[in-house]
Amino acid sequence: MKEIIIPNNRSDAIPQQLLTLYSSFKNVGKGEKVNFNLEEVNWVFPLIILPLSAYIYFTGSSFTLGNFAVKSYLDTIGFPKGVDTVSMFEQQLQKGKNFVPISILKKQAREQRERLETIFLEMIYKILGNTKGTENAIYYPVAEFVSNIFDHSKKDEGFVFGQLYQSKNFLDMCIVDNGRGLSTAYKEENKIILSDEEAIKKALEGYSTKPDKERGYGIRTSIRVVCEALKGGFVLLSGSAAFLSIENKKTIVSLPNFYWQGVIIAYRIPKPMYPINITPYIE
Amino acid sequence: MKTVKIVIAKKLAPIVGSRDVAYSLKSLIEKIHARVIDLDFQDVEFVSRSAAHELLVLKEKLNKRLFWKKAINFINANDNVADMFRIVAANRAFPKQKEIELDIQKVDVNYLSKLIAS
Repeated sequence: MKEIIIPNNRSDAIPQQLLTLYSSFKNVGKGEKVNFNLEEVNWVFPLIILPLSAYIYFTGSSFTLGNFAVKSYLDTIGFPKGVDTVSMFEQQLQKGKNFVPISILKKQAREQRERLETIFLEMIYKILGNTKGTENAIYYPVAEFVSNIFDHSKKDEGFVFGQLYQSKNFLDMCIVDNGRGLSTAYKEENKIILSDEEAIKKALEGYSTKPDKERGYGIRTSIRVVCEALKGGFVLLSGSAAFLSIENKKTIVSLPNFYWQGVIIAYRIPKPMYPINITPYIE
Repeated sequence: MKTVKIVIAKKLAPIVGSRDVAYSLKSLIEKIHARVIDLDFQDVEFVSRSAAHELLVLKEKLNKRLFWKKAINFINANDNVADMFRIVAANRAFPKQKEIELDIQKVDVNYLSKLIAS
């Protein structure tokens, strides 16, 4: 079995995290069963941990750990299997106060999924300090991105995970699916052939794969809430390309010899200190 | 006329995020022998834009039917929830320009290393 060495991160910057993700999955074949070697790693973050969890979940890949602190942390957050029920979520929560465990939301279990998503979101709000008037800004992007998974990915599972870095005063969120990805969705639903870069751009511009004219706002408005209302940084990755918005500078990065089957969304928001009105951003 | 109330926070959850919750509610509503259904948002903290859109579409569809028409009322929503419904309903009436052209720079993966160094 191929051994994939996960490199140690040199900084906590979002571009560095994206680069680590790229290095980790570069040259990994579609659905290939591999062993992820995390022995060199002494710090992990949602943008690597959640895609690894999702990949292990679907391919049955294995992993090896070295650093004791990393091992203990990964156990605390529920890596790699995550939790998929409210009771498991609550058990996992007792292990720490600065994270929301890796959670697997399942399409079929609609009401149960809504309840799990509710406690996940309430926990995010709580670890961010319960600042009155920030609930909508915190809930909106997660709810929209998770809803997109079940609307578009053609996959029955979505993965979510959040970690607050208390000393750094920011929260890192990650939402992952292993579905068909954006370019395949446009191809199958609209019969248009787009590269991954073009498909990401179309999605950001509001072109919905659904015929309903009122659809297609979710991604763009959620990014506005993250980047403009919450002053965060943002990554959306699908196939062999990623959109990156850092300090409102927007780029689409091509990722050669890399392919993520599905969509990965990650963002970082500073701990909100005052109420935030999202109305101007949700159009 | 008989009115039946569905308590959303109990039936679904206090945060209503996904579009497909409307399908759960629709199948429940179809089983209820009443012409008026009150969807009670008491204790609902948040409704996503997608879920609000789907619930408004459901309300319209059930009310437009020739047979087994049902009137759906949204009641007891807090300000956040009511605002979300108002925004989505306003956009249904007068849609804003949905598709915009974005000017996004395309870069290769080496750009990330430059960004980290800077």
